[in-house]
Amino acid sequence: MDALISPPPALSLRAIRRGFGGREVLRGVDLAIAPGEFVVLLGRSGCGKSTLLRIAGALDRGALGDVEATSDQATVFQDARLLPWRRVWRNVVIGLDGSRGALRARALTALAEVGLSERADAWPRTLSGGEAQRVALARALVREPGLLLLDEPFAALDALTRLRMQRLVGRLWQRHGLAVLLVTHDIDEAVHLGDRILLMEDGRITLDLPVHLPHPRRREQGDCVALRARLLAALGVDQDGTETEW
Amino acid sequence: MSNSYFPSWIPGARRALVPLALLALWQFLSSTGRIDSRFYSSPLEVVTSLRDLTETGDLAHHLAISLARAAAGLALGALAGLVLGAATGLSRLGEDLLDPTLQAVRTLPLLGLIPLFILWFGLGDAPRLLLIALGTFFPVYINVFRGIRGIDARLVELAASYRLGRIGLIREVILPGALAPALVGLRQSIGIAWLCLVVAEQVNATSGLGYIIIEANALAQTSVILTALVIYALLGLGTDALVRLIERFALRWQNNFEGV
Repeated sequence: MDALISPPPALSLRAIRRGFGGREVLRGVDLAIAPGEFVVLLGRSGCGKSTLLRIAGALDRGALGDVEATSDQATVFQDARLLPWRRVWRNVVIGLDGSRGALRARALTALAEVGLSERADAWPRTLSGGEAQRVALARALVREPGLLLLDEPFAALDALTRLRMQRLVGRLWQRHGLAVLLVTHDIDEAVHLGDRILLMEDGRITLDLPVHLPHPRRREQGDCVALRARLLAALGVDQDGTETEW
Repeated sequence: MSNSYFPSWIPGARRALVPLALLALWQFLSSTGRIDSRFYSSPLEVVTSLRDLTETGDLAHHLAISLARAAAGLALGALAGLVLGAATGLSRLGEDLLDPTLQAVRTLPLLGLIPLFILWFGLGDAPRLLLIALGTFFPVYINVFRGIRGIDARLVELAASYRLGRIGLIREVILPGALAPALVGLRQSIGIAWLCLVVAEQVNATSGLGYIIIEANALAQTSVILTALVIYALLGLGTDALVRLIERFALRWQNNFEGV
């Protein structure tokens, strides 16, 4: 890579290793994400993908290897993690400095983007799971991050809410032009959103697949179906859903 | 709290039902001479004695002194409980250094320390204040510690992820998260403060509600003793209600079971 013409990556991981109690969860992972790129890290539960995301987000400092990430990053977790004792808009601007009026205005703008302006003064306990996760998304976006880390953010939602959330994230990504690393075990999610799909197995990235399909994508469109089949095969699952190997 | 089937005064009236019935029974037994009025003054006699004490100004004088003692002792104890509870709750080092000693002190029989406290701190108000402070310290200390350790680790991680820093973590996550248990501790402390006050004021005191009781005892004025006890009870109820009011405001984000 020529450092003069290409901007520094939003995230760069080199030779990442991480063990827990003698068991090696990550065995040498390299990953670079360019600014504005939407990368999906796909894998079964327990393959180490969430560990990698936590390392990228500086929440796990026990790993070996090089981590370079832009400081303007924000994470959305699988659970919304809203502070139950702060109203919704206060949760959105948590940790930001400014006058009350300015912060509230910023929170309302971010909440409008996820369609929740009218719940700004609600207590988090009164939100549905999907609403809480949208607030978490607004909390990440209000910081205008260069890198958005998404740790299976839709996994706990019902199927319909999940679909709407995926579309919302796709729209927000296109509008803000930020780099995204989405960790998921959902192949459809990967196919729907990824510019690049990485497959993770046993602590290693075993497939790095660029996806040159225009957004927004439709699930039933032929290229998507083919891509889905390819990923399923790579994961060792037949089209019929029968396992070829475990 | 709102219940569409009953007007809003019903719960309050319901709570007053049993105490009022007991009062009526007590007055009935006294008036009909079934209990000896030399040892058990009737509610009406207590009201009369309350009026007398108020008119002479004795009550206001002693009540003010008692309130000041309770408030000072409680402030001292609760503040120390908050600070040390936070220190041991936030840091493992603090826990290892302080908690064993504090737990050992907690097992001492509090009211049995009065003679020693008088010996050490003299005959003034100091031993009384320190006794109240020591008694009120532990509920706050234990509950603040428990509250901090009970905070969801995922919210602490969120604070780290959004770079709140140590001050931000304490202000946004730790303090609000530990507030509910801390207020429970405060309520327990207030009860203990009144308890310690009664006992402390009956030893070597020349003023306060406890002194009124000792004096009335010497003169065999049962109704005055009962009056002082009623005032203690009312003070306890009043301060407890105050903390519950604070709880309802400070913890309005909660969504708890309120009974059926």
